[in-house]
Amino acid sequence: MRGKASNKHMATESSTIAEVLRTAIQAISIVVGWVVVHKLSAARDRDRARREMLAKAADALGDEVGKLFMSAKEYHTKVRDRGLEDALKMALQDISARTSLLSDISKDVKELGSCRSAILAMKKAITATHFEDEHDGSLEQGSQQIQSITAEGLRVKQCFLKLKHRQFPTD
Amino acid sequence: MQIINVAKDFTRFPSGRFKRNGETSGEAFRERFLENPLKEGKQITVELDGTIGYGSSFLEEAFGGLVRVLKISPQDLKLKLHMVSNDPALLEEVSGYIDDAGKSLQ
Repeated sequence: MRGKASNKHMATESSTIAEVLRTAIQAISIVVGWVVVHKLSAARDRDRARREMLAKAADALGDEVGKLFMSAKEYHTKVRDRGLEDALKMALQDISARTSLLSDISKDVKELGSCRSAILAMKKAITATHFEDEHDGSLEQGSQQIQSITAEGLRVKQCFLKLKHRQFPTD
Repeated sequence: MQIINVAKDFTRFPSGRFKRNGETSGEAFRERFLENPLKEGKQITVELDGTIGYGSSFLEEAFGGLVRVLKISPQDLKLKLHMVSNDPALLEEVSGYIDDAGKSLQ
């Protein structure tokens, strides 16, 4: 009689333990699932913010390049303007440095590299000849250097546009 | 090792290629700060940051000009001349002028 009661008590105890274990496993599963979902969601939000920041920066740089190459064309087709020379050098330095800094938030090493090369080609088109002490009179609108500045300026703008578009792939 | 900071030791407004047109030109910088120490075999570090910016003509004359004037190979020059800047694009640009000047020597 006493043994039967003890067996019944043990059975009740083990079923309680099983119930507790089941509840604990469910609770742990819920917590682990929540942590995983939260981490994935946070990573997705961070990535979206990063892409938006990159797109905005590429847009702003593209606008700067547009202004820069209009100023450069003005500089070369008019009489020498020393103030504009300084402004052009500062703008080129700023665009170059800001583009280099994008590597902190961009994974697109190849595209950034081609933007940097395009900026250097534009800088050379603007400042390698007929600049500062070599500015010996205004150039014609259709001159070789003006054509080169236009071509390289457009190349840089396209590069930034491409960088922006690559942040939002269609597939 | 000699350290030259362009902005502090030369000018914050580097401009132009040739000395005849100004004392802040690439040629003036090269003659004043680079040629003699390199001829004496000294190592030089040039800190480029802190100026308002560089035109390509200044950089080409200052650094590419070293290859032409000293008749030194780009490889040997780069062993003696160290460039420092926060902008890697500027370092690539200078390195490119040194290499291009080397090609014109051949």
